[in-house]
Amino acid sequence: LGSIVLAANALIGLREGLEAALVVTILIAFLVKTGRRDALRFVWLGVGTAVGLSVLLGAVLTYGTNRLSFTAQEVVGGVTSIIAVAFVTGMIFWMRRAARTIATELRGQLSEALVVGSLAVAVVAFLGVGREGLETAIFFYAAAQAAESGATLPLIGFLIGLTAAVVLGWLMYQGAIRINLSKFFRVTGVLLVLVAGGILAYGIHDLQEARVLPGLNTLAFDVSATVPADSWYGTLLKGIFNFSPQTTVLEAITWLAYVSIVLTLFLWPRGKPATVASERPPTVSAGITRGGQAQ
Amino acid sequence: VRATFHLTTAGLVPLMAVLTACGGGSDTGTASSDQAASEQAAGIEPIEVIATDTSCEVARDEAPAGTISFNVTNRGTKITEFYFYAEGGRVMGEVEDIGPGVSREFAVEVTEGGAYETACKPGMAGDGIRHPFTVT
Repeated sequence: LGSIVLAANALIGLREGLEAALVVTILIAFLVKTGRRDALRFVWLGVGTAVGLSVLLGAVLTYGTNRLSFTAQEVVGGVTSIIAVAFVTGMIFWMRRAARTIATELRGQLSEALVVGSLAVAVVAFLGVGREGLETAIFFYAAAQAAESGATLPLIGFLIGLTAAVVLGWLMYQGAIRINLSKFFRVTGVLLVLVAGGILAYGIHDLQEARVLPGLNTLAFDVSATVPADSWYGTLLKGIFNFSPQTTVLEAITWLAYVSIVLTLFLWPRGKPATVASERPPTVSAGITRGGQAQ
Repeated sequence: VRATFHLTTAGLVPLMAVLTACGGGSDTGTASSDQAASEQAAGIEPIEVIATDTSCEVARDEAPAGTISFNVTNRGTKITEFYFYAEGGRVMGEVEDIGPGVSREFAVEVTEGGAYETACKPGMAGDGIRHPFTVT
């Protein structure tokens, strides 16, 4: 029984930690591979702020008398998810543009793009960790309270799961620094599009639960019998792609629309080096970011 | 132009997010701390819920309208969730990720008396183990 308790709580930790680990890993790998180690401090700034804020808010909500109402909780979850999608989408196209600039060796333009990117780096790291951070912190305190009353297994299991997420992130990093830059951009870009699509669908689900959007009980499919949410593969799918075994029609449509549009734009053949200067990033990034927020 | 655009978006959006989050938090925070005070005055303790893989024991099945608190303890082996439904299956509140051996507190605000339902969802799937709940 002890090992089952340990494993079940470890799965919660793994699921909560995976998405953050993935986003942070890709950010770090990108900066290291493009010779921008100096910008790593912005990643840690974002991560540190998110962790600090989550730990603090989690403590206030656990030990204080204040509780978020269900609707407030779901609206915050939904809105932060959609903001996170806007930034991850921006990051996808920012990486694509940087890759293109590196390829054409327009050094001046590259440094300009990346200096502006430092703030964005911190924000993406902050949102990547902070989105699930509060929920993770609240669970941590619940497990810690159980530990205080003698049941230490849930807390140990949860910490094992979080550690496993970090280890998986580190392994992905090891793989990422070995592959060449253009392959790296392609793989992580596609991966991030799928991750962002999942976050968007998750946000839609939160807004449906808050009754801001309709159709909570109109399911597109229900595969909870074949992909149980508490199985290891259900955990990985949920943790990385926010896959829900019970997906509503609105979630499915939003996911399909986002992934098909952004993936097409991302994989669209690159212009020749000579045209790079004419299709300057401002229009590209402005259009995309706005598009992302409109989702 | 480009730098300005990025700086403003990067700066404003998270700021707005933080403001929204804080605003939401403090609004509801004030409301529920008032209620917490009146709860203490009335001597209302959270309703204990013991969830296992096959059962969902709710200590009381009736409560007066207002903030109703539950303390859900998972004594099973599966991760469980606890839901509070209005008539017609509308979710009024839920707490997810109640790992085995963990207790989680949860409050729902019910303004109107009537017939409601509670549910535990061991394994985070299905309609759950449901029980009627009356609000007076």
